[in-house]
Amino acid sequence: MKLRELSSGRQFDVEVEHPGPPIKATLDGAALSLATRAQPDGATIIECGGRRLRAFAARRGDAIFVSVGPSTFTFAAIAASRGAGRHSLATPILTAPMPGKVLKIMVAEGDEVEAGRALITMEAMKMETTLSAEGPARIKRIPVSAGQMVDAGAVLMELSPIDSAKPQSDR
Amino acid sequence: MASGMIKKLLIANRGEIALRVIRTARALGIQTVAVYSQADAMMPHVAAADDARPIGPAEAAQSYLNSSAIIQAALAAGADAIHPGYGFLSENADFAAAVSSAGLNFIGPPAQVLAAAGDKVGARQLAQRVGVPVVPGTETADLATARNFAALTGYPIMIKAAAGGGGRGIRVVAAEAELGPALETAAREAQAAFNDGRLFLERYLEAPRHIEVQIVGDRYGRVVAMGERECSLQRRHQKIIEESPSAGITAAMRGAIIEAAVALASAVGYRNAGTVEFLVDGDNFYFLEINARLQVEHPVTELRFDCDLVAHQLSVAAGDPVREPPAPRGHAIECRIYAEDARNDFRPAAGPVLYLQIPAGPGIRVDTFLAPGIEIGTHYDGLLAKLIAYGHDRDEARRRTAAALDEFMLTGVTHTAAFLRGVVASERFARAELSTRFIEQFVRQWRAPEDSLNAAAVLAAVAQNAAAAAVSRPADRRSRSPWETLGSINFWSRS
Repeated sequence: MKLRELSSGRQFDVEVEHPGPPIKATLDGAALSLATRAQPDGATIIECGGRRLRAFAARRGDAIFVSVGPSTFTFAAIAASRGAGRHSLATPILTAPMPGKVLKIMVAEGDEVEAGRALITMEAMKMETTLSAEGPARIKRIPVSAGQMVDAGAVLMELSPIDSAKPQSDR
Repeated sequence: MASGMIKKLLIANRGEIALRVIRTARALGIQTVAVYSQADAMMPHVAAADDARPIGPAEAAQSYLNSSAIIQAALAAGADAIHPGYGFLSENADFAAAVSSAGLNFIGPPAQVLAAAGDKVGARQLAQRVGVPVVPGTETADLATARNFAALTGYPIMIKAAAGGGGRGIRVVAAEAELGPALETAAREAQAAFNDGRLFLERYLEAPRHIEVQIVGDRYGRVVAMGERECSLQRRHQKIIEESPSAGITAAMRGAIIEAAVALASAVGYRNAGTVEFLVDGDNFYFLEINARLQVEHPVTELRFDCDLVAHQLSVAAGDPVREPPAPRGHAIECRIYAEDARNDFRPAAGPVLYLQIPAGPGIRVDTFLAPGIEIGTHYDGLLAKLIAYGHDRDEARRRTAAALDEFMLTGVTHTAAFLRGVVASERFARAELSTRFIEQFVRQWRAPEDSLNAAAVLAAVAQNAAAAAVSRPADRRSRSPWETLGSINFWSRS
């Protein structure tokens, strides 16, 4: 399966061959064995970088939250060819990088925008973040409105690239 | 003003500080009243108090900043005193005055002291009158004054809001062309944020240290100092690691700074607990501001002086004279763990507390409101926990901090514990080469541990598979940790 780590935007291709212990998987094509020891509270102890660390993973909605010691990572599955929720590169989805409030929407459905055009401003903890178009696109759908509170990963806008020769990168 | 023994205390705050104040009150046999917004009904501070009162919707402006709702709650609950914590209404002179008029004891300085400390220009002038050095600057900020000042000191210069403070209302101007627009924007922002558009200017110090002095004053005019704290490690002008004593100042400078803090606090007629902040640049120190409240980082002082500052606050508010503090010992370091993404410009984060492990051990104290099952939202400040470590010397405190951060686990909310671990374990921190620029420089080269990231990707895939398998079994739709299922090898053969 393909997973995206939200903070870095990095994509991982992971296939779990055996859920363990130890977990046998391939990570981006490389075989990997991860020693685990289940704990009574639902956590597991893993061997990682020569150290033993407590880890925990759980899914909530579309997000998979993982702790490895004090480090936190949030992953989203990039849906394969199955059922609804499938997004090909032809329909780029702009998602909320953080939970917060939609402050301002600068475009309307049907608008055509150039690369770099500011689309939407979000606010969380008095900090504003403006998301912009990564390439020329038409605004297909805006499922949120100004003033609305949204979770991290919530769909803010669907766009269709105007020049399909230059597909937008998945942010 | 009300005085005498406090029997029932309302805490006009939330989060870790509300819990922390409740604990001291309980130990002293004082009844407690919590207040909460609609978003906080399930928060631990509500359950921890003897009584709890709703004060309004999630928006702070209508709940934790709603003076009349809070005073009404105090009167209805039969409280005789209000502790404001930090932030929210803690330094609001009008609130302190309203609390006193309602016949309640405000646990903090009187309104006129809050007003004097809150006026940064006035405080600057007072400092100069009592002979305490201030950062070179001007008390007005019209374009002509600003041009002349910049011509004299050179760029960059800082524009500050007279009613700002605590890192808010600060703007750095790097070049003459930016000056006019920056002054206009700053005035507009200050007017909107503080309802006071007055500005002042200061020379920009490249990489100063931030040193502050804990003070406690009583109604008899006595002010004592309880050592200094170094709070140089900041992001967005907000502190994230504090320690005491400062490893970066000489004994002579420490003495001079503490003397200046006491002189200023005495001149302003300071009562209750507070902090006088300074910037240290080379061999010079400059007064920055008075924080007229209990500070977030007060536990650092508590560990070194083996005391309870909230108990001191309640005692002097009840009319007791302030006592001479004992001699400090050892070294203490505090790390603030925030709901923020250190890998994305410290963007705020939120989410459910799905798993939690709080560190413990010799010399370790954790002040937090975290509890399994609660939701961390974005309505309020993102401080999740304060990890404070005590050691006989700085090195021991530092090692204990790093080990305890390794033990800290919170799943469901992106937080800064791993980043703080990186800072504390760094060579530069070990050598105490600190400045207010440290964090912005450090974060540029910091990466999440690659091994942990790879392991996390594999664990995420296992969790995703387990969740998909659970959905295909209608009898067991409950969201579970994959490890419950992994623990049972039979799971896969059953599905």
